[in-house]
Amino acid sequence: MNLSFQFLLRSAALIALLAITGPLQAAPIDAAKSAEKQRELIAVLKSDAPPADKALACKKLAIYGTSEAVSVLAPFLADEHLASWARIALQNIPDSAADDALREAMGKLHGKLLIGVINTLGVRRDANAVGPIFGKLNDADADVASAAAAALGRIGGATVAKTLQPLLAAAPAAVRPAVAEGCILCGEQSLADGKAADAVKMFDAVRSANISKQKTLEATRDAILARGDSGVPLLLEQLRSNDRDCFNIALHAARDLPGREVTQALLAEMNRVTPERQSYLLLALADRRDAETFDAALKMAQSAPAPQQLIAISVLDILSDPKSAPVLLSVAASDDVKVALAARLAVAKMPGAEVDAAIVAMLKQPAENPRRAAIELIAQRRVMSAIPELLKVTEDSNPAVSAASFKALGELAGVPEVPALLGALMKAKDTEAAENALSAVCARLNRPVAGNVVIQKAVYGDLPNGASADVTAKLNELVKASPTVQISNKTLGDPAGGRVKRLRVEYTLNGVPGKKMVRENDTIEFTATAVPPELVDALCAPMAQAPAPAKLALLHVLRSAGGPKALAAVRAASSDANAEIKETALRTLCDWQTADALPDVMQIAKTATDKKFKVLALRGQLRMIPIQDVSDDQKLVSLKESMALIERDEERRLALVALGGIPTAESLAMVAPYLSAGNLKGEASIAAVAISAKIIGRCPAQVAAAMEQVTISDPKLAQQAKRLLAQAKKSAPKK
Amino acid sequence: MKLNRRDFLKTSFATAAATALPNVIPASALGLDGAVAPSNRIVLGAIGIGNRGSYDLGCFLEEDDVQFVAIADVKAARRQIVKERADAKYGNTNCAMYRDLRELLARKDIDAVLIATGPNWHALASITAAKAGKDVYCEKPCAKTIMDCLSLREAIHRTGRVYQAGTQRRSLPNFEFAVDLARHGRLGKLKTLHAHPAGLKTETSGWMPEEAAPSKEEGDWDLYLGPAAWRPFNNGLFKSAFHFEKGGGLVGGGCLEWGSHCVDLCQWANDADKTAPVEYWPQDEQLHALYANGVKLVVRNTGWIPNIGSCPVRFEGETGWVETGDNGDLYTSTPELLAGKRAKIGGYPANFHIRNFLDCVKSRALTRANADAACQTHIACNAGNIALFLDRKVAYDPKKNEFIGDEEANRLRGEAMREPWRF
Repeated sequence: MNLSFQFLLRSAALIALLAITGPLQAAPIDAAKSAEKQRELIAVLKSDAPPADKALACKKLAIYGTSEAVSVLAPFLADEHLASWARIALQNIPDSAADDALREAMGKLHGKLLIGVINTLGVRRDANAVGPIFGKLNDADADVASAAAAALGRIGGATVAKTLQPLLAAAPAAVRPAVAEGCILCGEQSLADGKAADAVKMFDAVRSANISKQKTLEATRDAILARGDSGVPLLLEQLRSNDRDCFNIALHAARDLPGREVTQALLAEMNRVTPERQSYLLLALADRRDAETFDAALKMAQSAPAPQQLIAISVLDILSDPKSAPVLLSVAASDDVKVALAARLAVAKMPGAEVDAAIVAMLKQPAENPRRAAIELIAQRRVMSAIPELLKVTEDSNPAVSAASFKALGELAGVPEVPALLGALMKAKDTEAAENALSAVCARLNRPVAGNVVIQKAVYGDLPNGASADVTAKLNELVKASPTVQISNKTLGDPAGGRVKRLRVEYTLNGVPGKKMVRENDTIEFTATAVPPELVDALCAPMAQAPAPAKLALLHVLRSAGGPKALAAVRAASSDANAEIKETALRTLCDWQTADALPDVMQIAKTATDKKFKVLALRGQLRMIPIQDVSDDQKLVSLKESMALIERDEERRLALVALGGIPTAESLAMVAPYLSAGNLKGEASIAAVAISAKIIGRCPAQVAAAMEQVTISDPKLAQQAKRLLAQAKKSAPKK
Repeated sequence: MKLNRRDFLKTSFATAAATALPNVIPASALGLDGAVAPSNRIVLGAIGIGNRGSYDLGCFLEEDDVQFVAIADVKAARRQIVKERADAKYGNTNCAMYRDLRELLARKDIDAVLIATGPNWHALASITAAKAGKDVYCEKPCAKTIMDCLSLREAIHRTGRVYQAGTQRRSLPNFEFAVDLARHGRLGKLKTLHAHPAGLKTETSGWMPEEAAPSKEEGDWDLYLGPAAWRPFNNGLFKSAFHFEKGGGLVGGGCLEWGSHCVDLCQWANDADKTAPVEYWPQDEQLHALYANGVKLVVRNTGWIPNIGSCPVRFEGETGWVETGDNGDLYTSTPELLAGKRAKIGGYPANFHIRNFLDCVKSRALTRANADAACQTHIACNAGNIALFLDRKVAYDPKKNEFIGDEEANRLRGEAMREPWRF
């Protein structure tokens, strides 16, 4: 039978494993426990239990059943609802009693139930069933006869072969496909039993029979494989066929037929066929993974027309052998964009120091394409040793090559390389590429640093609607000890036992508000980022002596770097004698990313004579005030000061946005007058609702007063306001 | 030249696609596309199109070289939805509807089929389609038992058909990149692979209470069950194949349901498309397995990791590690390992995988998730499920495809199909 339960010799691979892990041993099976289970399951089958219980009992007997269970299961083979369940057990019980019961049932059953039993006997490869199943080949029901033919094929053997083969011609048309299937299965069994000649005879018989094309193709494939090395002529015959299906099945066989001779024959065939068929053949050869295929692919990648070249590159990509790097690199500079891209992608992930060396050598080629390809690959492969070469290339007379080199340096350079990169900036004709490279370095080298964290609201539990607890105080304690907190019941308690919990937290980090939602057992980090101080030092160093174009670029880079030292350098430049530098520095201050520049912009807003800078400074203030690391009251003091300078609605809108981020009764009071201001009531309403949602618990009366004034068309906001009003009225003290 | 937004999106997508999959063999390389002549179109039929199938079908319909012509589904409402979708796309009323997949497969004009039935049908429908001369794209899990895996692989080889398992992460750049790191030795000697399916519980389930059945034309319960053992009609089972007992073998268990994705990626990383682990054992609410080459596989009971997303995997070698998941990002032990990283494509789309299938239908090349690879992955998952079910260690011989000295485990390798079905 097919499911053999013999103890097996260990394969070579498993023997190798013994050295690593010791003997392989499955946990012992408890025979007494299995016998007890069988007794219980048999009892269910014998009882008046509902069919569902009996069905499951059958399923479990597939694991625990022995000959004892067979006689109890057999009657269910005639039960149209439980027959399939009974066969689940009988198909898997190794004892020959199961075969006996199935054969006996054959004589009593018809139609589908009979087919099921025949199928199971076929799967079990019961040699004693051959006779009874033969009897069914002439059954009036074509489905029964077909099942019989297929089952016989599975069982296989000389007797089956002798009986089935004539039926390829003699069987009724409706049964003939199953006879062909049975013949093919029978042939495969012969081959597996080492009887290749018998198998070949059977496959050839199917090939020459008048049956469906698909079955002919299957037999042809098997006929090629069964012949071994001698199958090459038949393989080539099919490969040369004008019938696409024959060619396709031959491609499949070409992958499966082992042997060096086969590979040689296929390679020879490559020289005989059209370029299109060459491609198909190369793909088939690639799956054979023979060394000769590599050479063929290499040759095709070098000299074939573009479509075939692309196939060859794909094959080289799959093989990923560094020996193909020189060819792929030459193709990577091709004018054909698709071909070049495929080659570059193949090289990009190819391992090997020799590949790196070949790429760096390409930088010295005179043409633009190879140099640009090399630069791109150096960046993709992170060839750090190529940085000095890249720095030289930044001075290239070809602007495209120079810009590509700067871009690559932006992706690779670290702090030690920054002085050289700054040197390149000083010499650059077009400073934009150098500026972008330095900014990219700053962005890449940004590292987490500790910041001032204030947890404003933290809720842990079965969110959003299940049991939860306010853990604000607890989390504040934890972040004081470490900016990285493990979110678990151990650290925060368990407000919802048995549920997977989540933490929802609102916080400020160096004054900048943030929100996070994390799952139980995850970690959460409250860290700011900053570029390394030595990088800022390096960027500030040339500011005094840099030529104007470089200085302008450096101001932008310093904004990307951030931090007090960079700010000081920009501040110094804001009084530069050169008007362009001075203006750029002032703009950079107004556009500074953190609140460190707030005193500078407040000063500019007060003292600038040019209205343009007054407006820029005012806008900078309104952006920076809410992200200061100070109390809400202090923020409001600053805001009041700024708002006094506002002359236009554009800045008033920004002020309302800023107020919306400061949840106090006083900020709400500052927003309130604008709730009825035609041009500003939209922003005012958004701010008022945002503030109210946070202070409603402590200031319900003020919230109620503000929400009564909210009249806005946005339905979502109006609904929020209405809800807050109702809630506030409910909580406000009764007069 | 200025690009408008639409041009930009087109360019970005094209670039992403090109940079994502370098070793996909485009059909254009064989002179088989361009303005696609009707004779060069792949004529497609679909079998069992529910939620997932509808998504897959959408991906197929986006391809210019696909001509979709027929739907087979046991549910009339689903047949009608698919027909209306196809007819609307082509501006005709040509999409044929069949209740029985065998009628669709008998059509000589159909080249390939998309199979997205319930899992009870996946292996049988794939084999039946291959025997009918159709190439097959089949959703996962592809086979419910180890014997089904072997039968599927055997049938695809015998028939010479192109087969693609619907494990689309094999065609996404982040997973491919992580696998390449492992396979090309850039992590050092490979030590441990981590797969994260959701839920590892295994169980057998029976049937649910009988309810009034619809007409055969409206919903054919007998065909819906297919090779699965008989049980009475139940609307809950009928409405959602996902909750269905799934036609034999062991039920539930991310080990097969999700393992067919994430264990598959581990198999690929370990260059194990022609083999499977040799030992499996439950430990600390996880499944552990060991390959003959000494690499360990840890199947964790977690389906989602923050910042990585669903279906995460982690490959650890002696000198480095890489981790990635469905959000498309890659995390590595050192930045140098990210050299050559390709464009990020998050959200696990199937477009690339389906394109790979269509290209291979034309080139007859092996697909990314071909029958050999799918067979071995599903053997690993099924063997893992068996270890979990038996709640003990099992040893497996991947050459003989038998458990070593373990009759209980061996009996769980295969299950009889309901009459009259056979492979």
